[in-house]
Formats: sequence, structure tokens, C-alpha cells
Amino acid sequence: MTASSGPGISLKLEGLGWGIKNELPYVVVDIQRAGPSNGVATSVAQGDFYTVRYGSAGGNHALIAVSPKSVQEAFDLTIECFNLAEIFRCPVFLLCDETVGHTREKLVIPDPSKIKIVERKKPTVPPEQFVLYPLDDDSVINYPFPSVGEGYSICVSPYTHTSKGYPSTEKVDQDKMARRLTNKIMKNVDKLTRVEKKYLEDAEVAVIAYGASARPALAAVEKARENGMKVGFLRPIIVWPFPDEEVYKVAERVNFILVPELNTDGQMVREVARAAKGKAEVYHLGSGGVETHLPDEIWGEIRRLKK
Amino acid sequence: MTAMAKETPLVHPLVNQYLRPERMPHLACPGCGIGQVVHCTLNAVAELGLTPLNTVWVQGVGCSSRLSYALWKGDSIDAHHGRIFAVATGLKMCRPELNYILFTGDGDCASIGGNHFIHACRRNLDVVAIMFNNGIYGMTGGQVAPTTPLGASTTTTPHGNFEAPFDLCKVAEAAGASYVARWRAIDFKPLTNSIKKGIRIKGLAFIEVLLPCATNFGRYVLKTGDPGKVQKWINDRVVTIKKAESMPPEELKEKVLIGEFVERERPGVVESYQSMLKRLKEV
Repeated sequence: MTASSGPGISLKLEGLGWGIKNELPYVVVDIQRAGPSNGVATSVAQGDFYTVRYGSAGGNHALIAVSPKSVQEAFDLTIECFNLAEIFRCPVFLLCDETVGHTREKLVIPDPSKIKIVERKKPTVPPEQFVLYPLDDDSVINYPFPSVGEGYSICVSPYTHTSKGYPSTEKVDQDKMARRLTNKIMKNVDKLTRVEKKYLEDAEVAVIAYGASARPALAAVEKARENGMKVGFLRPIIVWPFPDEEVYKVAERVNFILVPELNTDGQMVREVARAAKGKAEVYHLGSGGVETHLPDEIWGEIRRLKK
Repeated sequence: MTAMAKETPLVHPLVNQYLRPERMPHLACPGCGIGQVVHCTLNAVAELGLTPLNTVWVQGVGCSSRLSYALWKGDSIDAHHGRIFAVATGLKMCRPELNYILFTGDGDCASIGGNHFIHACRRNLDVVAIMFNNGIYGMTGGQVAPTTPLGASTTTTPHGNFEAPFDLCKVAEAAGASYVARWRAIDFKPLTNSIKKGIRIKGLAFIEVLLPCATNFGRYVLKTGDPGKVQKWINDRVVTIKKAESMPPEELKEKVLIGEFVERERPGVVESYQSMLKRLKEV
């Protein structure tokens, strides 16, 4: 496990690619802050949404990012990140932001016996029968992984590998490996959809937000409801892979979607627009960061767009 | 390649005992000294009775590493470029009972991995690190390295290298490694002995090996493709520590010392860490 704010994450991206390629379980905490570069130290923003997903050079992979909105969730989801990393054998991000990172609020630590922990699976076959990388089945998860010193002669490297871990420059091996690294997550996307939904049944407008932005967003939605406007709320908790189907279902039902997020370039809003497939208008409410949106800013934007 | 591997007679018994025959023949250029260093390593391993089960080979990126990767019958971990000491630190701290032999190059260790190298020496990480120094970026086509001699022309310094090279042994000594030595790849016996010492010693053993690279160092710096001439160039430059003692300083200016520079008792990081854990448990 490793943790840093955005500028530190850019330094760690090199090791990220190595972990992705070798199917290693990492948990990486990214406390997003206002950038680019060092930007405003210890100030909130949401600019690493694509960095965590695409920051590793070379493409040919998918990965998992989970985003908490509170201290309790940061605790619970960190445990979940470890479990997902073991199941999917890939780096998993806890995509936080400075607000969640510095918030002090009530935390309930459950009894350790109540916490679900996924233990690493170990090979049950002798070393000569064990296949280190299951390249012929690109969707298999929960695959066993031996450690050094257990007699399995493991080969880990930065090079494109065969199922034994030997380096290869063959197109067929590269293709197999790239598909495996992408599909083990994308073919199991049903196991990786987690969202919070509120007031969507009769909604004519939806607000979609994640992390710290989700809190003022939900407050704005509730203010709209108090004022008789049918506004719903959706929060992706697992943000990568992006919950396409859930967003599409919302888009089918509403007239427009507002995405408040703490960047000026529009990051998650692009994924929302892609997943909406033209079923609803999608708008971005951006900010350079330093402070989260106020509920009234989001509520004001909903009213402005409604007109 | 596979068919050829089957036909190649594997004469040396150490190859069958410790290496993966299916990974032969290896990738070294003619005249390269990496094969000799691997041979010395296998001799040291055999003489100390190490096995593929209790020993892990760790590599970085470059000729040093691509040539030694997945050769060892046991676990073979190849780090991303320059991060060999970071990866080895993780491995050693998690599985301290295993022996780790690191193969890195001058580019991997001194340039991109320079910072990790210094800190591994400071922590005195309990591994043997063998650094192949061919004075150039060999695998990528002859670019200047932090070990390239002053004035040498390379593909990226066509008008001569205007930067002074690093002395990695001095860096290792200053940073705190328990054992520091430098040999040529052809110094078969002393190199083998140094690797043996390195495996036994507590803390970090850093062994630099001067390696002839005819393919790129020969071609661009010495204007020759003859491995013998590259080796002779190395031979003319090196002086043993003992001989250097009786030489005047002006004669030593262009020389590179070989021998054992440091051998000292300093706790390795594993010991320091475990004694901290013990102390905390007592509290």
C-alpha cells in the first residue's frame, strides 16, 4: 500500500505500470489536490480522475478506483480496496480528495471478526503444473499467486510476458497479455458496479457527483426537492470501471444531468456524457478547486439550467 | 531459437543445476563479460551451497538485467528501470530469510536509480548488488552514461563527453555499504570470492564489474568492434589497490582502482528493523 497527494502520485505512476503488467495487488491512496503540478498545497480538487485510470504509459489495461465521500467510507473502502486488489490482482486506487482526507467526523470501527477480508489464494498444484499468468482465460479472477521462496520459480519483469513470465516480443503474446489485463476487469464489470442512488424514481433532472463533491451535490438535490423540483442524485462509489449502465438508466429518465466536480477541464462529466449516449443533456459545473462547491451554487445552477 | 536451444550442448554442469536450460542460449553480444559474471556468481552460489529455493535473483533494466532475467531456476524478479533497490528492499523486508543477488548496470544503478542506490547503501540493505559497468548505455545504442569517461564520444556526445564520470564504489563507501569491491569480468577468482563474501556479509555488498562492451562502447568510444581491444583498454586503465599505493598521484590520475575497498561490520537494515520490533514487543 502506498499513499500520496496528486503530485506524489505522478511520481508513483512508473511503478503503477509495473504492477498492472505483473498483476500485482497494490492499494494506492490518491488525495487529490488543486493542480496542475504542486498547485495549491493541501487544498481540495478533483483533477486525477483520468490520471489514475490512464496515467500509466502504454495503455492496454483497466483498473479499479474507489472513491469515498466520508471518513467512515474512507475506512470501509480501504479494506474493500485490499479485497478487490487480491481478487482482481491489480492496482486499486482509493481516489480521495483533500476534503475527505482532512475531514474529522465520527468513525465506527467494527469488531475485527465482522470485517470481511479476502485472503490471497495460493496455488494448490505442484510448481511444474502451475501457470503463473492465466493468459488463455482473460476473464478469470481470484487466481492463485505464489510468493518468492515458495518453490514456484516466479518470473516478474517489466517486459511483455508469456504465461510463464518469460519476456516476449511476439505480437500474439503481447495481444494475449493486453487483452487479459483489460478484460479481467471489463468482463467482470457487473461485480464492480457500486453507486449510491437517491430520489431517482420520478426525477426529471439528475445530479451526478463523486467524492467530496457528492456532499454539497446531495444537499442541493434535497434543497431542490424542498422547493418541489424533481431532482435525483447518483454517486459512483467505484468510479473505475465507470458505472456506464447506471448512468444510462438515469439518462433515459431525466431531461438533463448536472455534474459538479472540482476541475475546470471536465473529467467525470465526459464519462457521464459518453455513458448517457445522447439520452440526456449533460452539463459540467467546474471549479479550479481549493474549496468544494457550496450547495447553493449547485442548486443555483440547477435552476438556471431548468429555465 | 527454441530448436537451436535444444541442439546446443550445455556443457557446464552449473547451467543444468542452477539455470533454466530453455532460456539458453543467452542474449549476450560476442565479447560481452556478463556471461563470465554469471559464471562467477554460480560458482559462489555452488561453493556456499545456496539453492534456487532460498535464493532470489533480482534485476533492473538494461543489458545487465535482460541477460540475467529468468535464467535462475528459482524466483527471478526484474524491477522497472532504476528501481531494483526499491523492489529488493520490499522483497528483503517481507522475506528476510531468503538470499538476494541483484544484477544492475551503470545506467540502471547510477543514473535513473542513483537515489535508490544511495539509500540502499545508507540502510545497508542485506543483499549482494553486482553492478555491470560498461561505461555506456549498451542496450539502447551507445548513449552517454554517468560512468562514461570524460571526453569520450558517444551517440549523444558526438563532440566528446563534457561531464566527469561517477565513482560508484566511493559513493557506496560514503553512503554506508558493508562491503565494496571492484573487479574486471576476467578477474575470475577474486570476483567469485567477492561474491561469496558479499553473500555472507551482513548489510549491502556492492561489487562493481568492469565489463567490455565491444558492440557500443567499442564502436563509439574506442572506434573498434574488437572485444580484445576493448578488454585491453580496460586492462591498461586498471591498477590494483596494492600497486597504487606505490604509484605517484599523477600516474594514478587516469587509472581505475580494482580490489576490495571496504569490508566492515555494520548492522544491516533487517537486523535494525527486527531489533526495533523486539523492543516494541517488550514494551
